[in-house]
Amino acid sequence: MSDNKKIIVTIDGIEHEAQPGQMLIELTDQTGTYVPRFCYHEKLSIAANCRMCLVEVENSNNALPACATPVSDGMVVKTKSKSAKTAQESTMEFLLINHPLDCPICDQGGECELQDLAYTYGKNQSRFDIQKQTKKNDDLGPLVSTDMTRCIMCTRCVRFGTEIAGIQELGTIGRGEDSNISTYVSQTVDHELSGNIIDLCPVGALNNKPYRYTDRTWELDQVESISPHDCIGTNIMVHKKDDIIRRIVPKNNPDINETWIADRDRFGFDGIYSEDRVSNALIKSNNDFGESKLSNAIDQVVEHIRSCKNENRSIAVLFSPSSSTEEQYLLSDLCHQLGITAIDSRLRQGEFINDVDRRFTPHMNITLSEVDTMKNTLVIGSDLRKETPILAHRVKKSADSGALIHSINAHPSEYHFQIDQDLSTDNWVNNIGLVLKAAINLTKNHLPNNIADHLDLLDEPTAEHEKVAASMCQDNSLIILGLNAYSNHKYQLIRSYVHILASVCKTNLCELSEGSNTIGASIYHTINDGAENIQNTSEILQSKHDLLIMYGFEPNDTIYKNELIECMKSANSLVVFTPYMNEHFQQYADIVIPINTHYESDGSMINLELRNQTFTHNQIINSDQFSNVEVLMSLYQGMDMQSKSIDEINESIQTGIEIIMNSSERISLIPEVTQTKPSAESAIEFNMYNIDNVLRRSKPLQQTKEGIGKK
Amino acid sequence: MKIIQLIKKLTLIDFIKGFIVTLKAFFRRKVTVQYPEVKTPLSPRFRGKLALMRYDNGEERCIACKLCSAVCPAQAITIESEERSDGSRRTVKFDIDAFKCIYCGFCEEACPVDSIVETNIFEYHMTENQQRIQTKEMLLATGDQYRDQTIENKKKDSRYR
Repeated sequence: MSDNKKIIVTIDGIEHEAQPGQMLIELTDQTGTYVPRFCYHEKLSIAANCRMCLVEVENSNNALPACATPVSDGMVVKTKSKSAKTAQESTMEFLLINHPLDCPICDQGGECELQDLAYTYGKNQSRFDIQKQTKKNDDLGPLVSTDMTRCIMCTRCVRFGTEIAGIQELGTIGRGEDSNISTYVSQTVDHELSGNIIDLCPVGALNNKPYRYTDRTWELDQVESISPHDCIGTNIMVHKKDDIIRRIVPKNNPDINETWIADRDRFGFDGIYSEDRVSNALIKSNNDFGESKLSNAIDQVVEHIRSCKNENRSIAVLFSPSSSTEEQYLLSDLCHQLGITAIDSRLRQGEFINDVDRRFTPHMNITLSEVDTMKNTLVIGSDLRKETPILAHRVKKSADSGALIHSINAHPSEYHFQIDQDLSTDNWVNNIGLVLKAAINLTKNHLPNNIADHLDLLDEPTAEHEKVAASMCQDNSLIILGLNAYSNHKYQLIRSYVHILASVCKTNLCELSEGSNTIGASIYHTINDGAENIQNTSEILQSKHDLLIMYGFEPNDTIYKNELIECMKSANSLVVFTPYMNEHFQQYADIVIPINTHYESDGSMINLELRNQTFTHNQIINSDQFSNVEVLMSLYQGMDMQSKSIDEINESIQTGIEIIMNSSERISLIPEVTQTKPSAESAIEFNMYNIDNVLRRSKPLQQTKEGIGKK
Repeated sequence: MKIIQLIKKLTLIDFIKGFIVTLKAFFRRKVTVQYPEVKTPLSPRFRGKLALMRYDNGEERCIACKLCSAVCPAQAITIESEERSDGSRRTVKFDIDAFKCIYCGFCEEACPVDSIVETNIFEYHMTENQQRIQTKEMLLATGDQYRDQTIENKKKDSRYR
């Protein structure tokens, strides 16, 4: 696009400045003149096949489609002239020829683009009195329902498949009147972003299957929120009726998720209506749970803590990395005030070095939208598409504009873009080291002996390693360290390789972390002294505790499942704060305190680019009407301690974020080989619909191929 | 003036005038009826108790589009819907609060499948507060009971629509 050269376009008698190469519809959207459209979507390529955006352009014989007409200097456009109106009206008449009149039973009714435009731009009467066409419906799986008779062949879903998802799952079959949208060989739609075709479809042809036939749009109340299923902090809109969540749709945020959300963000909420929700506090006596008032249960917990404290017995606290920052802060502060050192939220980290972990909180030093502009990206130890679908989409965008993407992982992971160098072998950790070695050779950096000695032990890097290293040393490069590496038993080694590589090549670094709010959990220790003695999950699970407190997660959420169950078994008393009951809690827990899930509570979360976002669901499910923060505050009251107010907490969180943001330091040492036990197994199957307790219980997600566990 | 008044008083003319009015009314046609033994005729357009209609084959007409509940100014209609086992869209709950209903007939106008109708039943009662909620079954039963009469009425009114 040649800059500085602005051209003048007249739209409906008003002159506007435009950039050469811009399409007419982009200009009308900018200037606030609405031109009707179906097939045009700002995030998709231009198809110009619906013909709804026809406008009159002076000196042109016919009306022209605004979405496919580039602006030119001195262009005079009339969007509301008689000829434009006639063109639009005729197009609408043709579109409605085969569109069924089933708006009353169509879920799109009320938010349908065709319905809206038919009111504004259509004729009142139909002149068509021949039989309408019907089409075959494909089964697209448990998430998307189809009513293909309603389809107007805008092909947005097809273009979504090729351009955004990267895998063409839907396609157009046949020509003219017989054309049809379908999967070619009757497959289901399994892409992790596939739910977005529901929003893209301008009519009711593709719709939300779990939501099918339940509500009309005008009955729903809308609440803004943040998705709690990954560290991206996807913005969502929660639609509720009678305080029950009916569906979730994306909230457009160009800085984070644009207009897309992952399927688990859209359909995950179903898990909160699972039958194993706990609504009353439960206290075990004689191996049987008895229901009790929440305040009584909290009194008992306080008693337990007190007696352990007085007799100097050990207390350990493990909490969920997906809980809100406020909850995490209150828990950490409670433990700090009581002098409890065994507290952690890192349930999937494969290896711990307390000193390093505390100084370097995993985060990314650029923003998510900057990922689009990267020219070289190295993905290390990650099934990026499963771990963070939105980040994977950003990386795909950069790949589409010519970036080189390299991957090093334990197994070749599936990508929807071209991988330049794939160094995924069994010996992948070594490969990272070799890339580092190649990079050091390339840049001729002087390194501390520790690193040089370590690297001398490795083989000589091959041409592939050198290629990756060379590409990393260019401008605009990014290293993504994924969750597969995070959960690996050599995590510390991988991490220091990556940090050193990032500082040698001056690349940007993006470290994914587990849950939605690991950074929030680390904030307390970032801003408070006295964190030196804090034990990590691995240390906590190795020793026996008199009182074990688990907050907001269940054994399946950790990679140390067996060790945790052992620990639960050996603990004298086990207190669980959980929204759900499960067999392990049934067996070992002594006190169960119901808490709210993310979708019912208020708070804030910090995503991996250190963006602090708040959410307000303001709804309480448990029978005693306690919010999570109130439950924790009542623990403080029981212990006769002073808790910080929410405002004070928010202030400290802000300071913590600034500290992390301002520290540009990177790990510069290779760790000594330590054998920490228990160590995680090297290869952990990452099931994207089994990563937290809500997703695990979401029926639609569990019916998908990924949920069932077959490939 | 005083003399005229005096004459009127003495001859009781005003009295006689009044009696003449009464006498006239005595021979006029009567407009009151002995309700409930005798009933006045109703317009086919009369808006009475709500009912849900069925198709001739016995299938309920309602498709749970919820337009009636959207248009209801008194918000008397509560509907919950789901996909029935045969894949059609049906209500699982269709409640009308008879105390809230103001018999405006908007629901009938809004209904795309002529499912909800107003019969010309106006005499009905309930003995307990809870009975004001008319469930789907009750509404369908009303529709079945007054089916012929309602269809007849709608037919009569149809040429004015």
